[in-house]
Amino acid sequence: MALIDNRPRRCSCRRMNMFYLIDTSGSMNYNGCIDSVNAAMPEIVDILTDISSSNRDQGEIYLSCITFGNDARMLYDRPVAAPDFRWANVRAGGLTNLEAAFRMLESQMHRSSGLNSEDGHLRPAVILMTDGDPDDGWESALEKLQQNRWFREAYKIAIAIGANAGTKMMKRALTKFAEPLDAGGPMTIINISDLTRLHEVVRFVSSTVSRLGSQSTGAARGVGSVGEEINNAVRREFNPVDGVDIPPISGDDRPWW
Amino acid sequence: MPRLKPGTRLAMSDGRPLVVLGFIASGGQGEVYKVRLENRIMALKWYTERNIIDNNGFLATLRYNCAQEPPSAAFIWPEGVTKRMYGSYGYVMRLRPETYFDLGKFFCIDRYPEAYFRSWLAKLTAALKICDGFSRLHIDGFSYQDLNDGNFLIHPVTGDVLICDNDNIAMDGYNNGIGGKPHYMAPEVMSGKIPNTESDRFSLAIVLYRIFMVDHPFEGRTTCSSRYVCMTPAEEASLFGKDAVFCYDRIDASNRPDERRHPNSVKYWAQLPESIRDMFCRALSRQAVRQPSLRVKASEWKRLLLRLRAELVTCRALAEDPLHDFLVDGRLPAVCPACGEMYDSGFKLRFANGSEYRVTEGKPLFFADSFVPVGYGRRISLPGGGEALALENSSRVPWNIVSPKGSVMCVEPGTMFQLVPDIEIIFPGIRAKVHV
Ligand SMILES: [Zn+2]
Repeated sequence: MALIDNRPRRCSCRRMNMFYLIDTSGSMNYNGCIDSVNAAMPEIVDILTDISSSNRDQGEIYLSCITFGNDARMLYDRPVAAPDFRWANVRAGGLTNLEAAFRMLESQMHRSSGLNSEDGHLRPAVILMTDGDPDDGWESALEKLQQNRWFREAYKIAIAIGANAGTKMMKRALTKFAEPLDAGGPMTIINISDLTRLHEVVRFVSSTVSRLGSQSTGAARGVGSVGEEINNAVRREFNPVDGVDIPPISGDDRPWW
Repeated sequence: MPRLKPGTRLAMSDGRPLVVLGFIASGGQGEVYKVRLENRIMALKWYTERNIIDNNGFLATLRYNCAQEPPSAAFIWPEGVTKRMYGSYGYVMRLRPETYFDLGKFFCIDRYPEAYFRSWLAKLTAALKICDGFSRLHIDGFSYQDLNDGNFLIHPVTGDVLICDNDNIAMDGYNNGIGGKPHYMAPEVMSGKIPNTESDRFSLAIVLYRIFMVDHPFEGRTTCSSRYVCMTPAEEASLFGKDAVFCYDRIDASNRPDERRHPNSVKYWAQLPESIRDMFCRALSRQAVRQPSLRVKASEWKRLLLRLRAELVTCRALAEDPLHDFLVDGRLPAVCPACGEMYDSGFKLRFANGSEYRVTEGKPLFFADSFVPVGYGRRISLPGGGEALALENSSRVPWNIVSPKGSVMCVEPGTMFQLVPDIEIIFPGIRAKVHV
C-alpha cells in the first residue's frame, strides 16, 4: 500500500462577496477623484486579502468591480478571490450610466452567475461610489435590482463624493439604493466633501463590512445591525475630523437632505 | 496602510525607548510591528480599534496582566505597555516564530500547503498543550474570553503550541469588552452574557475538535443545505450558537457531515477511538451547548488525551513506509488503520503507580504529563539476524534495568537496550515493568 496520505482537504467556507460600483463619469476627473479611487483600490484589495486569509474559515472574500461612465464594465467577468484580484487603473470620462451598472450588478447576483459557490455564501455587500447625478433610467433598473433576493439581503453602502455631492436627484438615487430592505437596520450613506479622506473612508468601510461576519464582536455592544455598526464606526473614526460629514439618518422619517 | 512608519520612536510606560523596525501584520483589533526595545527585538501590538483605544478598563487589565507571570511557557505574554502616543497605545511581547502557523491556516491547505498536522501525536500534543494552558489559566482565576482559531500558533510537525493575543485575558467574571468570534463563541456570550471559564469550555471543545477533525463540529447537512445558501448573521448565530447540532450528535442525526463538503470530519472520525468520540459527543451535545455547567473541563480533556498519548501506536509496516501513527484506546486493531498492514504493537511499560505507556518504533516516551521526552522506541538489528524493539535513554540520567533473573545493568544516556517481557526499568523516582 506504500505511501500514506493523511492530509486534510481544504475546509469548505462560505463566500463573502463584495461588489464595488464605481462612478467613472467625466466629473470624476475634477479634484483628482478618480486618482483617489485608483490609489485606494489596490490597498483595499491588500487589506481584504489580509482579512480574508486570517479569517477565511468564516468567509472567503471575493471581489467584483463594476465601473460606470457611458456604459458599465467589470474588471473581471466574475467575482475573484481577494488574494487573486489585481486592480487595473480606471480612467474617467463620459456620462453617469448608473442604470447600466445596476443592470450589470443584477446579472451578477444569481446562483448561475456571480454567486455560484458550492460552499454557500454570506450576505454580500454592495458599495456604491458616485459624485453626480445619474442619467435617466436608473430607477427602473434599481426597481428590478430590488426584486433580486441577493440584493435584498445585501449590505448596501453609498458613498457620495465631492463638495457639491448633493443634488436632489443624486440624493434620491443614493437613498433609494441604500435602503436596507431585508438586511434591516438603518441605511448607510456617507458624504465625503473632503476628497483627501476618500481613500481612508473607502478603506475603512470595506474592512468594516468585510469583517462583520468574521471578527470578534464586542459582547458589550451586543449584536447590532450592520448599518448601525458601520454608521457608528464611521462616526467614531471620522467625526472628529473636518471634512467627513455623516448625515444624520434615522431611517424612515428623516430624509438625509 | 500601517499607521506607524519604520523609525517611529515610542516609549514604554516606564520610559524605556522603543523603535519601530517594520510592519508585520494587521489583525482584528490592531496592527503588529517588529520593534527594538533596548537590545531586544520584539513584537508590538498597536491598537487601531476605537473601542479598545478609548477603553480604560481594557488598558487597566492589560497593565495588570503585564505584571503577572504567564500561566505557562506556551503563552506569548504581554511584557509591557507603551505610553499613549499618536492617538493610541500598544504592548510588547516576544516575536512569533516563523515555523508556526495560526490554527486557522490549518483549515486552508489549498493556500497554506505546509499547515497540516503530520501525525496524530502532533495533534495530541497540540490539544494537550492547549488544555494544559487553559486549565492553568482557569486555576489562576482567569478566563480567556476570546478563544478561537486565531489565538494559537502551532508547529505542524511537533504540535508545539504558542498561545497569543493574551491581551484579552481577564479575571473570571469580569469583562473587558471583548466577546468572541462567531463559530467559536458560546451562545450565552452571543446573547450578551459576560464570557467566563464556562464559555471558554465551549470554545475549547470546538478548537479541540478542529485540531483533530479540521472541519467545524457544527457544519453538516443542515448548515450546507440550500436553505442557507445565503447565510444571514441571525442564522449563523443560531446554527453555530444556541441551536447548534453537533455533526455526530448521538441523538440528533440531522446534521451529519456531508462526504463532499466535510470530508475531514468523515475521514478522521472514522479513525478516532470510542473514548474520544464519546468525549466530543458529550462536550458538544445539545445539553452542553445550552447548559454551561455541563461542559467538559480542560482538565478532563487533559486526562483523556494523556491516556491516548500513552496508548498511541507508531507503525512502519513496510521498510519503505514513512513512520506513521494511529490512536488506540484499549483494544488494538488487527491491521494499521493508516496503511492497512500488520503492525508491531511494541511493548507496554507498566509503572509502579499503575499507569501504562506503550513503546513502539520512533515513539517518544513521556513521563506523566510532561512534554519533554526521556526516551524513544528504536528498531535494532540483532546480532544473530532479525530485528527487535529497543528503548533509547534520551534523558540526562542513567537508568538501571533488572532482568527477570535479577541481574542489573546500567543504561547510560544516549544508549539503548532491547525490550524483553518482564524486565524491570528503574527510572529516577519510579519503576516500570515491561509487558507485551
Ligand atoms: Zn501502518
